[in-house]
Amino acid sequence: MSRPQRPGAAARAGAALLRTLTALVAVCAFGVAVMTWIDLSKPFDPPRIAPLPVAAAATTGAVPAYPGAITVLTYHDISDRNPSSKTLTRRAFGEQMATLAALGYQTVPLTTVRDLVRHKPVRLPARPLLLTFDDGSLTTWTTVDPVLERHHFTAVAFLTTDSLVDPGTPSYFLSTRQVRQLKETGRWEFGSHSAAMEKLAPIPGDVGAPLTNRLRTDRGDETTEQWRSRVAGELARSQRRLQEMTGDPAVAFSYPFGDAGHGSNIPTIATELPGLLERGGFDIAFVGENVPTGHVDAVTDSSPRWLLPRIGIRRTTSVADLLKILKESMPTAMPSDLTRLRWTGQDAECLTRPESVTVKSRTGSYGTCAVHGVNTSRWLNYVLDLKVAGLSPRTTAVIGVRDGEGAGHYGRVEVSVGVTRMVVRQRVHSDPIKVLHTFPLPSATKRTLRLEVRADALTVRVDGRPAATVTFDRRLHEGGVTLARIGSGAVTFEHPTLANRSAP
Amino acid sequence: MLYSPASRLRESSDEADTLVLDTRRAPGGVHSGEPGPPEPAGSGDGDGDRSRGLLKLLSLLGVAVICGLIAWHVGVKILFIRGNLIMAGYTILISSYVLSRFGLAAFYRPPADRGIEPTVAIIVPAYNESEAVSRTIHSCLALDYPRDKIEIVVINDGSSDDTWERMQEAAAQYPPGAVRCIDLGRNMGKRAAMAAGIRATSSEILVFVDSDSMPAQDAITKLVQGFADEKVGAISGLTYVRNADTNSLTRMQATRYYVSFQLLKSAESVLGAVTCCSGCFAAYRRSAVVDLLDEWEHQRFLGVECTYGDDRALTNRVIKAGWTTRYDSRAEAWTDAPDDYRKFFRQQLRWKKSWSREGPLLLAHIWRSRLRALPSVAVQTVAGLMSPLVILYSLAQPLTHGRFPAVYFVGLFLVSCAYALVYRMLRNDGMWIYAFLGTFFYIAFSPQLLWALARIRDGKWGTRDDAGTGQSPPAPRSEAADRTMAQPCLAA
Repeated sequence: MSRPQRPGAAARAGAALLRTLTALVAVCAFGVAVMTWIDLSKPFDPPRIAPLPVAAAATTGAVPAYPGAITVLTYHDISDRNPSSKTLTRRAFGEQMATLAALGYQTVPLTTVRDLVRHKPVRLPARPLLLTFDDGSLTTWTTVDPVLERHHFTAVAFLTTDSLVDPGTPSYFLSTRQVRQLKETGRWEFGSHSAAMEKLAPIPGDVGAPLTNRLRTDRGDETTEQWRSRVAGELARSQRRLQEMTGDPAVAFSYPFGDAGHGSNIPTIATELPGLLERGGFDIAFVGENVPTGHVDAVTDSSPRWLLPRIGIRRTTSVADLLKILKESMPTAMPSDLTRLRWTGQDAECLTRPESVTVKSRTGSYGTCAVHGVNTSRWLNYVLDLKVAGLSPRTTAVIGVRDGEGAGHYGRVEVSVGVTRMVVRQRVHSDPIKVLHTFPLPSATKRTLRLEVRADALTVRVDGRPAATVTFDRRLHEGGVTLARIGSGAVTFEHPTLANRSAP
Repeated sequence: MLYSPASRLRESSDEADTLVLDTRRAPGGVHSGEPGPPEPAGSGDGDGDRSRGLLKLLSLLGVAVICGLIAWHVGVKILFIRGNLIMAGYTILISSYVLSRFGLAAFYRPPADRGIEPTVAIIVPAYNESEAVSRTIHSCLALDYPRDKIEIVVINDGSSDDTWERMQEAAAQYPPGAVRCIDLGRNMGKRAAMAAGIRATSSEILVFVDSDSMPAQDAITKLVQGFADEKVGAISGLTYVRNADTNSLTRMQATRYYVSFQLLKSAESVLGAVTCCSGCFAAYRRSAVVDLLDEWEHQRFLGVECTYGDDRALTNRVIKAGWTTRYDSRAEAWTDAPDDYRKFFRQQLRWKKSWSREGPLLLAHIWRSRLRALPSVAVQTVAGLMSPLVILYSLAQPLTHGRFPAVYFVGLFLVSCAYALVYRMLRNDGMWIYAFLGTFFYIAFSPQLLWALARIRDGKWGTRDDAGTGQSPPAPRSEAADRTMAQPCLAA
């Protein structure tokens, strides 16, 4: 072990360089370790209980309540760090929950929803709410539950059961023990979001939801029979897992992608799926995983139990948006005096006076006045009385009933009244307009009309005499009223009044 | 934060601009065979002082950052306890233990210099040490302590070589009576040799020096100061590795010794219960030892006479009798560490055996004898016994669960960094990297504990190589070194 006397200048420079490099590498490694450690140490966000936002507090009471209608909301995970469009920030979620609590919403258990849609007697609070969380993300346990506890809410977690991990495993998803712990809080119920069908899979010519499509496999395309056994097996597996974890069978299912098979590559899948779900032990199924792009209703006793609507909430949904969606989802009670509503025109000017609504031409020959933002999904059977003034050979009045604008379908039944005749037409989706009835009338410029809609039949009385009874398409099973005119000049609809003929 | 005697800092700071490792710290060196005090260290030249001070400060900052991060992790774990409760509990316990070492060590101060000079007996048990024994005798006589208050006893434990002759030869160079040589006549074991030494002397303080250890010139003067406190029964000195330069193994051991002494023993000293006053250089109060001498000498465990872990067993009994034990970082000595992996492996096995025997025995009485050390002893014992399972579990996880136990390894990495930074803060000899690597190296040895537990009744030292192989005489010094260097007591 001889020791060098004194290293030369070059050796010393080399040693200095080596030392600097070692130190540099050590500092970098240290930095990386520190960052990793920080990441490891906070594997989840602590919950954030937001104070009630001022805007929401001001609008308290603005959302109407309707007896027998349960608002159902869909959330996914709640995190400040996940940029996914499905993910709400902790703050946004906290604000939404605080708003719902301030508005007086009270959560109901899943069995209440089931009983409601199966027409069993239920007791509902004034503003019933069902919160649902799809996928079974870890944040359900870490972030959501404490916020729910704060507001005394309960919720349903729809779990993708194969994603659940063993206790102690760091994961995006819940562990089985966390599921049990949530169950023990008494705040949570669990449903199935399939076992592992949360990812799009190859289907012939495309990718699609594996639940509702025949898949393309290595051995060729799946047959319907293979689809059936695959789905039945997966539903059974998910149900079994849930039962093992929570002790109770799951009653509810939520379709991955909110897809219940209406865009399937086998037309029969949509009709067959409820049967498979029922055999899998489920009673009800929810759609509505995505943010609503059109109309969405609250759940009522007339909601189809295999297609229960939910309101999907996304990152972009502000509290104001939420309030607007809530309001529009809530059925509006039928008013009797239609002049009280706010009519807005399309290609027409709507003049609302205390006793009448006048539709004036603005540009084209066809102008319509309708009421927007009113949910007419519970406007089923009703009688509309009104007087029409201002008819001329060039001016025809059109009264629409069962209009789908506020009820979630596209179509209506139109009664077109001219000086000498009356025509009853139906418009359904993009189908061609169908004339149901044509009826000559004695010449007049003013008429008294009574339109009575009941089930899928419309009875029209003109000037006190029965004029026609027509049956129309079943798809027009609910909806409101529109007032329109064809031609030039203005038509005035006097004293339009509605009377509800639905069974209470 | 950590106490760093100015002398030591001075000593090491002058080596900064050469990568030559500091060999002058080992008086005598491996080959010189001549006793000698450490050369006076050159004072740091003013130029580098500031940057060195800055580096020390940065190291301290780094240690603080690591401690803060670990504390934060523990806090998060406790607040949002989740997942596998056993693993979380283990993480919380072991992290708190590591943190507490840093925290307690920050409050460590060596015993104050009271200027007392009690009578001291230096007891050197020797077995087949023909080469080293004379060097040790010379270094003991070169000690800076009043001649009339020191007695030196060298005990020949039935050596089969010429140790006895060498002992007498060396003793003859000094006035009669300065060094007493005792021959046990046959090989009776280290414990018997130590006990014989204790019985043959009458001084107040007993200092054990291994036959391959060399105390610094002022080491005894420093070491006895702590006994000014009537309650102190034993004091451990700071032991450096003399042959640190030999290879990476000895470098890792050298840094490990240093960090263990400065961190673990300092922390234990603050609690007043240093659990092992090591055989290579430690002092005991005669009145603390004399009553339990027989019991200690003939200790039996699981029906077998104990042949290893002498110093840990003795310290353990001293603590049990209600004495305080301390650590004095100013009293320095140098010892040899095994320089090949085979010997190192066996030494580790022996330490682990003695630790698994004495750890639970200590835990059984520490709640009575020193309650405030209970949490630390409990965690040390329980977590220490769990550690082989934890490391095997962590290594198996990628295979069985398909994921990497990141918390375990990143945590280990950070703790290693903290050790390296502590080393760098206190010593500037370019060896900090070995403090870092050594942590992983030692952890890798922890599954050996399972083997140690299985063979705990086996009293063999395992290093004698059964001379019956009849090959060329094994290097006597290193073999003996391996044996005598029983217990620097670096906790598992």
